[in-house]
Amino acid sequence: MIGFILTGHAQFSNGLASAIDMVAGDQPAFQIVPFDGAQAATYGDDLRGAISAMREETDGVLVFVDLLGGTPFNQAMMISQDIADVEVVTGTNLPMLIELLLTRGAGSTLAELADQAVAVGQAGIVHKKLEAAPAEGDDLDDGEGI
Amino acid sequence: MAEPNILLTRIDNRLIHGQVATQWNSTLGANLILVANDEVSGNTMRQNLMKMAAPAGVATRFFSLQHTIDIISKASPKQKIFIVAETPQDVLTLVKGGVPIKKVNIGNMHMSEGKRQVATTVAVDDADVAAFKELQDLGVELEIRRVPSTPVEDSSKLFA
Repeated sequence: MIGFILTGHAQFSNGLASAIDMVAGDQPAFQIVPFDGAQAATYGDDLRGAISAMREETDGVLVFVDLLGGTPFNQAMMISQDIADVEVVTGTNLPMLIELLLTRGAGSTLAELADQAVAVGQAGIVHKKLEAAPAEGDDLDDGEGI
Repeated sequence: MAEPNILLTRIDNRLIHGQVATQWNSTLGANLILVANDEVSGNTMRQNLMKMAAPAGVATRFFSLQHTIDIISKASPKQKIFIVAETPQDVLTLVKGGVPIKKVNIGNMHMSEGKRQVATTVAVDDADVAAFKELQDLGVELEIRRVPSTPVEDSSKLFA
């Protein structure tokens, strides 16, 4: 199992974690580290502690951060230089996490999961238009069944 | 005609949404989500919206209760069906109409005027309880569970 750490500015990780709980329920080997308020001073150490503790119990750790170049990203990147099998993805969103939490049990490697996170996260950003007319034919209908 | 392959039937007043599309469907391994609902069967706007939510590779159908009853026996054995309905009354109509539903997952039944909260995401009134009782008497297994990774809540809470 690859462990997941979610971190970001202020309540970013808390908020995403509560959304994940609503959609997908409680998740093993998934932990948040907020960069927030009174804990900001010890954030780097807290993040390092959380990553290394998770790393000891898992085959690798994927760190999900909110913003390229922000402090959570910078800290996570530095920690990933010191601890083996720690990868960082940034621009974290809900579709990315929901999909990865669901599929990580299938035996994917850390590198594969990091690639998948980027692909799923990007695919989740779309501009949709809702039409009142019937949508185009169901391409999954092979003429059999209902 | 072989019996239709109904993997699960879920009561959820939001029908197809995040929990259903991302969690239940993949856990069940369904390839067809059948929304049995009279209102939605005539509302292409809501149908189109739910089609957006459905996972890739999973077909959707939006049938009235009566059409579901009429057509379910024509399902192909390749169709692994996940039925989603809005209320216990609708599920009871399906069962009484001959749709072979063996297990009902009770997901979201929102709180509203005249209902009482009996489980984390389930609120019922007397008519709901009567429908659940009748389903149980017809041999349908009832399970209160929000998403697959959350524990099953005791279905006797419905009748408390």
